Amino acid sequence: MPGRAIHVNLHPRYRGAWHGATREAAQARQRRRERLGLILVTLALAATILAAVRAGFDAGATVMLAAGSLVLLLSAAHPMALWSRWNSDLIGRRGRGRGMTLILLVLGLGLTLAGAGREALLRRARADCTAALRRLSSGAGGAAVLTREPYSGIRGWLIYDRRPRRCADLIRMGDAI
Amino acid sequence: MRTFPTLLLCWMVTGLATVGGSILGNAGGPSGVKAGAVVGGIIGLLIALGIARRVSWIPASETRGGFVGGLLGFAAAIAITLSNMDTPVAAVMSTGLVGVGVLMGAGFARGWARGGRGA
Repeated sequence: MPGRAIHVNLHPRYRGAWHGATREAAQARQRRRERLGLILVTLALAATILAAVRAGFDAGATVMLAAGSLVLLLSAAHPMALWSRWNSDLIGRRGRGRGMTLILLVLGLGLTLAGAGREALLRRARADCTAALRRLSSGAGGAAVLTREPYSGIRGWLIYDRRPRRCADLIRMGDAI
Repeated sequence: MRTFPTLLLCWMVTGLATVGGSILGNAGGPSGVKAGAVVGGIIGLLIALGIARRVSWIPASETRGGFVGGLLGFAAAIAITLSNMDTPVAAVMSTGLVGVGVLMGAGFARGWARGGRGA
């Protein structure tokens, strides 16, 4: 009769096989989903690194962006689920906690934003130094003082017009001056 | 396996051991600070994994994989910290990669231990 539930009363001898087959099918579906997830994570990570390198990003900023994107992507899955084919039972049995998702989101967002911020800061410092170099070369005046290693990773410190600016390219500046 | 406590434990113990190592290495100058931080971090990771194993948060068979993953996460954390020495926030946040690395390593170790099942 249409619309009526069918009850299958299996003989006890076959019940184990029925449940086993159902469980294996569910695990296979889970494995397919996780395999797709692994491929997407790998592709997204490779795309982030390639884009950062092509755009001429600083090495430190690239590492931060890559790590941040990986952690952000993992917040949608679970770090232990990356090796997709064999972890389906772990994922199926026990769901991710909200704490794990939240902490991975905060960590990933923090690293990504810090990487982007660092790159923006370095670009601004380079632009400042180029502008100062032009100003000094044209004889427009302004006191320029170069010192060594004010910050780790930024190789110089340029003071002109009484405003301190970080300089990312000490050697070029030193050569020019 | 208790993943969330393991993540937090590895993050905190490795971070504290890194700070302790850099303080101890301070006597050796700037390179002593870096060397002390690296050695301290590795020792901290070992201690964290030892505690996690003792309280049964991580199975013994996955400890080695977790250590390798944690080392990779620590390497990324070192790269991030060294390029952002002007702020402590980057150092604290990047140490979280150790915990993420431990979980990823444990996941891979679990996969290899069941070699080929469902492959």
